[in-house]
Formats: sequence, structure tokens, C-alpha cells
Amino acid sequence: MRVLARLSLLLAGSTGVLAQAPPPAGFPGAPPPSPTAFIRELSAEPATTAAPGAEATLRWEASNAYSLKIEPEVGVVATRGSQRVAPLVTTTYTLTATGPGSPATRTVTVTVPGTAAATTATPAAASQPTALPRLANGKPDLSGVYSADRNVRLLGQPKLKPGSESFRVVEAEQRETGTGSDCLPPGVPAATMLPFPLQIVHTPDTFVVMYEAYHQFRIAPIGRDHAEYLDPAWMGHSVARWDGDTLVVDVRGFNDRTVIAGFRHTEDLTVTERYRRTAFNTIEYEAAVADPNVFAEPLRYAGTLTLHAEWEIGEYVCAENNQDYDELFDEN
Amino acid sequence: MQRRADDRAAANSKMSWPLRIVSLLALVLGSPANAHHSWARYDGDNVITITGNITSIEWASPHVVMHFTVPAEGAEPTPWTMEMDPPTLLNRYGLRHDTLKAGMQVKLTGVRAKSGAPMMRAVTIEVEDGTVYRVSSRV
Repeated sequence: MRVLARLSLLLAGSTGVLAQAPPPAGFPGAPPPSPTAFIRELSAEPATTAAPGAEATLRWEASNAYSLKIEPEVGVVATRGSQRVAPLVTTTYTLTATGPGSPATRTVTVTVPGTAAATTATPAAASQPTALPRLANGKPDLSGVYSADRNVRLLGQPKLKPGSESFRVVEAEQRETGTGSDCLPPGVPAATMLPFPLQIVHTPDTFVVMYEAYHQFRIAPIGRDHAEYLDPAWMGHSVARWDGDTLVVDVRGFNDRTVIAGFRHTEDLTVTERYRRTAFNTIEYEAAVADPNVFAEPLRYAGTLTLHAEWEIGEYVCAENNQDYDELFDEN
Repeated sequence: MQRRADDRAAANSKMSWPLRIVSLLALVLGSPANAHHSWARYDGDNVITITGNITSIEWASPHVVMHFTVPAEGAEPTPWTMEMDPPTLLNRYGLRHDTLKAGMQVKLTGVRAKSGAPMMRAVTIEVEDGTVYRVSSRV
């Protein structure tokens, strides 16, 4: 295998197809430029409606965009989709796809017979709610699909308890594999830190976090204490309480099989999370992670969760194609 | 099915102790500890661009895997493997499960296995009409 790989490397090199791109030193730290957003389609069916207030369907599809919006009326939309509109006058809809570089735009006009085009040269931005949503009990409603997208980070370096060096994960250095290599749940707060969105479902009694990553979920009753016995669990056991307008989630009852900042831990691990919706689109997230058997003081994590109301949580079944890559890497 | 299980149980009960130890070792060593992995196996200091022809796509988590060949002058095309983000993320970047198909020529930009094996992780894919797709959360 190794000889074949070397041979293929030589062959690939000899054909000249393997070219070095401009050097982005330290990639993945400094990756190559991201491809710009583009709009593949924006259409209206029918393009001319029967009468004022009659419906037409807008359809769109874009790629490489971080966010998309259609103005007027429609607002923030997903990567692809359709929406019915019912213009009273002839209206030009503008789809703006924002990504790296300049935003891409495309327009489509829905003609309403016997009416003049809407006179607004620049369509008013779709109304974005600014007030914080509230639960029936008056507390902030944290519900929504959010993305942390690597925004939640460890603050500072872990301070080890003397003598606990043996908890350091060494196989990751030896084998250069990731700790998620077995497709088992990543734990808390790791599940929030991955580049996958999560969905919060919040009622006055219950706070549920559903992670796209590894398809995990946590259910935290609000205002209840932990049960007396907690069976060791990958994602721990969660209960929540309010501290003013901040929801505090206490997580314990973990098994000892996940990894925290490069260290194994014991079943004495506890995580205290704080969720504060500071604006309609953002939750400020903090987590304090403690294991007195391993760390001299709690590890602190912080970051912003950004609302993506236009997204759905997708299906991520890690085990479906979890190959043993050793052979592909020629490292057997 | 039950009979097969019984046969296996019978076979195990007859297994000698050295064989049992070897079996146990095989079980431990054969576990997928080196499967779903980090970027650390790639040479992050060198971004490569490579053109090839898609032979198959595995549209699945934890990574969508593409098999492709790179033409080699006077020799058989070289088989390569490339991995990218999982379907849920690729979907948000605007790719569908059938955007990339066997037979398409693609230009891939990404990083190669440190070992030098014909294995890479792509960050962008350019298809024949010049469209460039993002395929990694790292860009």
C-alpha cells in the first residue's frame, strides 16, 4: 500500500496536475479564500397575477451564502425554498445573498395588471423583531435554531490539579485522530462548540437543546433539583433555574468517557451553563466546567449563539459512514 | 439466525486460551479508533489544487467521501479519495446530494494527507461550468 501510494504521488506529480496554490501559512489556521456567494435561481410563478392580492410563488436557490433575504415582505430565508406572496401592486422582489466578498443580488418582478410598480426605489428592509420574545410566565423565550459555529471558546488554559497529568489525552498526539473518532456523543459544552447548529425548545417548565451534531439532545426541567441517583451519561443530566433573565443549567451525572480541553475527567465532572438572550438574534453563552480530581479551578467557556430562524436541524448519523481511514492515510 | 449464534457460542467455548487472548486483542485493536478523525492528519501548511474525474460519491456522515481519479500520462489514472463536510453542512452551503456526480470533472482545493497518500480534505470544489462550491466549514 505504502509503495503504491508513493508511486501514485510520483505519477500525480509528473502529470503536472498537482499544483501548489498560493501559500496560506498555517492552514487550517489561515485557509484559502472562501468562494463567493451566488444565486442560481430566483423566479416567480406566475410572473403576472390575475388581480391585486392574488398569489404568486417565489422560488430561489443560492450557494456559499452565510445568509439570504428577500425584500420586500419576505425577510430572511434559507439556502433554497419557495414562498407565496400576494402583491397588491406590481412588485420587484430582490434576493440578496451575503457571503464572503460582495453580496450577490437578483430581482424578479411580479406584475399585477392595471397597477403601477411600487414606487419605493429601495425596498424597506423586512421588519426584524427587536423585542425579546417572552414565555407565558414573562421570562425570556430562548427558543430558536442557533449556530455557535466555533464562536464558543475556552478562555485561557486549563490549570491542572497537581498530580493529574495522567488525565491528559495522549493518543490524539500519537495517532493524530480526533476524540470523536468513535462517533460517540461529545459531551457538554463540546456539542455546542462544533460547527453544527442546535435548536432550543423552551417552555415555562422545560428547556430542551437539540444538537445537529451527533443528533444528541438534552432536556432540562426548570425549577427542579437533580434526582438523588444519576446514572452516568454521555451528555449528563440537566436541570435549569432562572437567575434574573439568565437561564442557568446545571449539568452533572456524566460518565468519564468524554474529553474536556484535551483531558479525560472523572464522574465528578459538573458543567454550569448560562444562557442570556441579549438581542432577538443572539444568546450570550457561558459555561464553567469543573472536575476537582483533574483541574485546579473551573474551566471557563464563552461565546455567542446566533439565531438562524431560517434553518432546520438536519440529520447527522455519524456511524453511517464512519470508515477506518488508516488505509486511506496509508498509516497501517 | 439462532442456530448461527449457537454455533458461534459453541465455537467460542472450544477456543483455546491463547486464541481467546488473540481474539480479544483483535477486537480491541480492530475497533474504529482511527475512524472519524481530526484535521491533524493533513498537511495544513500546503494547500493543493488538483483536477480529477469523479468515480463515486458517498453522501453520508460523518464526512461525504468522494472517490476520483487523476489522469496520468502513459499510465492508468491514479485513484484518489477526498472527504468534505457532512451532508447537513454541505446542504446549507447550497449543495444537493446529486450536485456532484460520477463522471464529472472537478478541480479540488484543499489539504493532502501528511503521509503523502492520495487522500485529501477539500475546502472548495470547482465544477465544469466554473461554479465554485464551499465544502468545508473551515473556509
